[in-house]
Amino acid sequence: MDLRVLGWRYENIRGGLRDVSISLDSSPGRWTLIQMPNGTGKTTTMSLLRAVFSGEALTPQEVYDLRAADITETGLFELRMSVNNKPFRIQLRLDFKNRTHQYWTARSEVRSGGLEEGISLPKELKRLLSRDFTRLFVFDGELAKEIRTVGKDRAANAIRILYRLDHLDMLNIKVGRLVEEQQQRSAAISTATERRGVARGKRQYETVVTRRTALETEQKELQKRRKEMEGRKTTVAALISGRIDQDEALRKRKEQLERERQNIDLSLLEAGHQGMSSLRVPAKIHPGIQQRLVALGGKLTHLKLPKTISVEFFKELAEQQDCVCGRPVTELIKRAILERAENYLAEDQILVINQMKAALRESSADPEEFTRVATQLASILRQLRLNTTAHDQLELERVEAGDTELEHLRQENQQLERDLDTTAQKIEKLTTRDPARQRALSASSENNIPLCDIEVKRCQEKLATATNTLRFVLQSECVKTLVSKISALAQLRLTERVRIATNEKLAQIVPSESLRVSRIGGALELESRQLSSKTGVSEGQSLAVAYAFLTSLLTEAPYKLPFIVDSPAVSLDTAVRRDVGDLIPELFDQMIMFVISSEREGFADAFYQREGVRYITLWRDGEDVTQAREGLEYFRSFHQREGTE
Amino acid sequence: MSFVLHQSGRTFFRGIIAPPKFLMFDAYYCCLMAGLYARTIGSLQDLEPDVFVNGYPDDFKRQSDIIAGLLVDAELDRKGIQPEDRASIEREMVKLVDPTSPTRLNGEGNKLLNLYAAAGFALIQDKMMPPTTIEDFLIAYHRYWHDPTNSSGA
Repeated sequence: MDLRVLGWRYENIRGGLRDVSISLDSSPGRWTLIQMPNGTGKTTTMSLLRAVFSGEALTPQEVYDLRAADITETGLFELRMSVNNKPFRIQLRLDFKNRTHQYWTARSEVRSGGLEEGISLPKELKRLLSRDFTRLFVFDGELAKEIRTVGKDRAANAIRILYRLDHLDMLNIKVGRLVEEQQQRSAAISTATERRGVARGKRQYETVVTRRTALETEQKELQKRRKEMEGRKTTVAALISGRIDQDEALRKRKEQLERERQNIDLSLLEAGHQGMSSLRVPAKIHPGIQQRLVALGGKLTHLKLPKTISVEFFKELAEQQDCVCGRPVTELIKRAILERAENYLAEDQILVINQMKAALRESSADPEEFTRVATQLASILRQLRLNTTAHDQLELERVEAGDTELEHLRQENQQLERDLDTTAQKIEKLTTRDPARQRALSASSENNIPLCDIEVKRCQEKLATATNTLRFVLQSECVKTLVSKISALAQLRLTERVRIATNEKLAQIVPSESLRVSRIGGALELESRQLSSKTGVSEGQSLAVAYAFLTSLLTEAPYKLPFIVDSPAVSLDTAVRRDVGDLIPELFDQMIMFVISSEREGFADAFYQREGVRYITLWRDGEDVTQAREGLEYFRSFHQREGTE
Repeated sequence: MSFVLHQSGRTFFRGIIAPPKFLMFDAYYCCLMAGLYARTIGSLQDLEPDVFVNGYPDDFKRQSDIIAGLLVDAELDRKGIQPEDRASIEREMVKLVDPTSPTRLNGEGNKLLNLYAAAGFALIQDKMMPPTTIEDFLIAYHRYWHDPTNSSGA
């Protein structure tokens, strides 16, 4: 599905946008650079584009805030686009007086060509264009920060929606509906007694399904609460740090401890990597393992194993008329040879055993390496504990000096830790599949989702038996299990593909920083050589990561979407800008970039040599009304004029 | 080749599973080494119902011959096959080896590997608390191997 923006129009919108039309033609060029100095409605345009794509409801205040002036009563934002070459026009009509809004659509399928209320895009596209998803391709710097925030599901969800994995979920829902229909049909032709049995079975089934839904809701609420508490914990830590900073002497000691902590973290990371490398070589784990490997290799050599004679030799011999000794091979002898031949290795097995023997002989490794690393790790962890205690001491000193606010913050922090523990226990009780933990936590189908699933299945089978649809239900369960597995596997593989592509692009954009995405979970998790889990990432780095991720995500997707970006290079270093300016334009079929003067160097000027670029400049005239003019010359000269101010 | 965890393994190691730093397979492998060294196998009932990974992750592919060797070694000992019994040793290898498998092991070898890992998990669980950091686990795992009171200790 191919979506392209053809242009848009404003009427009475804030930023002086009283009557401005942006036209990109019926077949828009690949790149459009729109220069909008601050105050000419750039942020407003991005918000309006997002609203119209996703059809999101605006609050009365949001509608009111969009007005061009106090006296304006109505306004309009109209987006023109093509979907698979079919034109669509979506209007956002704004009633500032009543603070209401309506969406209207004009599309080629409607013969009259008139407008119909609501957003009437193709169903598949409408499902894709959720509020969150739209923010991925109508993109601003804020998202770059959020996309890395723990707790936001945007990264993983985006992959799921964009690659249509949600279709698999819908398939499972359809299978469930088919089962229900089949059971209803079957129940309709049963006797009265059977019907009572069916009704009872159905009640039980519905009860347990309702309970399952309630447990899932409880799980989501607990997870939400946990994220909130984790967020608050981060805030409290920052507030505590701020309290320490109020005392000059303590602040200096704190900074010294933080420097030490950074060194400790670095040592810990290096030793951890070394430890994992040692761990993954069996012979390094313990000298005893190496001794056994060497002994087995020696035993095989001593016994001249594997034998050079193979099962194939005996099978061939059994087919001969005479044995190698000259005696005839009778049926009895043939059977005996074939039977005993199975005790011999096949030729390819011999090859494998010989490889194994070679590996055993060459398994020499430093058996003390793991011990050295473990000792080093223990020492570093001791330093870490001392550092933590010293840091804690700073807080205590400040509390003793009379800082009651800090005392409250420390108490809140401790309470948060206790609450987080309790929440984790509740989540575990709800979700654990481990039978030992289920027993330990007194979990049952009343309070544990996996056990409740078993109960759902039992009730479903009981109902299926009563309605003579057991076979149908079992088959549908097989289909659903298979579809779920396909979905999970596809998500895993797609996520990994996007992660690898993201890292390849990051290596191009910021080669010197070794900044890499280590995992795409709910959010993007980063690592670099310097830190195991990168938290202190600059705005420019965030933007580079977001670009690398988004381009990897969107370029190979089955949907071709425009990439609309606000201030694409404003927070990037000049060198990085140039790389971004060279890399990103090649990745999208349509890019619309809103730029400001400070982005001329390295980014906007990288387009001047390209063919097929459309340049538009918006500015406010003497009467505070925004005007638009097209062309590179004006874009550059305006650019230069503004840049020299 | 399908690897299956002990049914309590996922919960026990959940604090440190963080690919690519610490894989679920790392957890399985640590248990496997303990089980193979102790030469004890668990039971099928101990295992999770589903396979958690098919085939060795990249970091372990080079160890396939060594792991197959350790399985053969453990099986020879567990079954009391005498070191000079050439025919029995070869028969045992025939039972376990599949040249077409990337792990060098056939279905029987695969099943045994899972059972050794399950037994290894029980040994580890007896000796340490569920780890919360990879570093803590590495230290505790090292301690496990050098604890003279357990069946793996030297």
